[in-house]
Amino acid sequence: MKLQHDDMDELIGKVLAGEATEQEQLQLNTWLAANPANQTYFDNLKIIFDKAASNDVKVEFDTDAAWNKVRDRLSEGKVVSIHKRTERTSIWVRIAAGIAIFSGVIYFLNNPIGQTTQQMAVVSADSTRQDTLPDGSTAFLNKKSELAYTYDAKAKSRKVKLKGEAYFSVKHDEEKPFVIEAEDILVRDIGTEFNLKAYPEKDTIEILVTEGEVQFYTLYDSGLNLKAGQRAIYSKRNKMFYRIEKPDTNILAYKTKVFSFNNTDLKSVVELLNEVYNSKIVLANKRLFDCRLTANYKEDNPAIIAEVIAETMNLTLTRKGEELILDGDGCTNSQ
Amino acid sequence: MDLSEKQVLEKFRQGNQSTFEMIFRAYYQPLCRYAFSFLNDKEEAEEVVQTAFISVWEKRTGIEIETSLKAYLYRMVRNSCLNVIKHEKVKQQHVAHQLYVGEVAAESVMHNVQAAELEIKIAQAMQTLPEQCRLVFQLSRFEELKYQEIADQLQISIKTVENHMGKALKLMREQLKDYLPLFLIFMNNWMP
Repeated sequence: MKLQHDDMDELIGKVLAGEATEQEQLQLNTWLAANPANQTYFDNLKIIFDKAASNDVKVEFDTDAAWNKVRDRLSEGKVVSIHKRTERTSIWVRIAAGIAIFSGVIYFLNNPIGQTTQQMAVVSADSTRQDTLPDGSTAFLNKKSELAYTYDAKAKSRKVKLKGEAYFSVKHDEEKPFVIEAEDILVRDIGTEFNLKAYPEKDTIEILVTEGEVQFYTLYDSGLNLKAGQRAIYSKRNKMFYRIEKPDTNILAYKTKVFSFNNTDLKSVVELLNEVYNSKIVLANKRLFDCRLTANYKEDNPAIIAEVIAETMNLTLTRKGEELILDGDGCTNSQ
Repeated sequence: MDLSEKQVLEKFRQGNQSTFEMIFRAYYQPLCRYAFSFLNDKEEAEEVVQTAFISVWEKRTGIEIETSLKAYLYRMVRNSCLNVIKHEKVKQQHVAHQLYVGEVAAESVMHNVQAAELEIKIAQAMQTLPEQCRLVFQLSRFEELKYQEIADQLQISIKTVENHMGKALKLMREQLKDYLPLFLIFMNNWMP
């Protein structure tokens, strides 16, 4: 059946923008009550309406640098017309590429069978894994991740290539900079602990700094300077950096096994638990998807968490082979 | 306009550079984000905003500000962006971008899409709206104008504004279907 919302978009827009009359608001309420799918449709549009102008994810612009530029232009006394920079950028790209090839050759010539380099590779498959790197830094790899460490004694640089997700605790050394490379993205540590999520199949590369400070950047963009508690995303598609203002308490759950849910829908809860534990918790019917959970767990055993969830939300828990099945009538009000 | 803003404006008109710097610092980032939502190019967005500030400074004695300096700056940046978009080259770039967004939106459903990713996708979906439709949506969401004000500025009827707003929401939802929270999507497919 097709939803009867074709004529409703305008009305919903008016209500969201605060332009609706009392009568129109009533008209919408009647429509919403008529069918749960209508409510869902409205919720969808509301998310789009709210998030379009939300400040939770911000593109960062450098106000200081801009002010300096504008101040200089003020004294020139003339408005410089807008011009495109693409040409200049592409020249820089070409120069940078040229240098890269050039230094690659030098490096090769000066490195007969890696005498001055130290290397190490770490790969995780279906479980997480912690390792200490040759310089004393540690890396905790999430599942399906790969890491290659290289120390170049000549250049005094420590370099890590990452595919996937890992939590780094870097042993800081002013003399030997530590740089992580994940596709386009570079992260330079300034005495630090942080989580970097860079799975090749995802659109974005995400970082959370828990201690110290890092620079999150690419070869062509100085990116962002991030301090403890700060979180950012790089969009591979439009090559932009975004600061994220909203905390996500479960980013490190794969490492800490600490979960914190705040009015989270049960479907997302179960997905996260299954991802972290390789467990098979199943919601028996779709009415449970929208149940809301607010709780904290610190637990090594997913079965115990499932039991607690069943208890708090008045659901039944049954085992069937590896599966842990949660069942019930759904939730009228959130927990 | 409240008293403090009047005082700020007065100082600004007299050519007080530190007042100008204060205004610049307060509005630079939000204006850049606004310009970016039109242009999808960081450098270009900064250029537009910087040029707007410089021109406001140079015309400081002559400008008429009816509502607020903020509204004035937003309008100026918006108009410059529209001019840039009219420019042939950028228009081509814009079309290329639209195609790109279309392709990506057709990718398979990603599980566990983070809320932050959804916001980036919403911004990208906004870029693909038809021009007038997108403009109405942006005026409402970023400049927080009433329907009547939007109608006046664009010289269209209120009914047309309502129309564009509804269409904007509908088109963006179609693009974002796969990324909106799963339980919501599910409900849509679930109804018999």
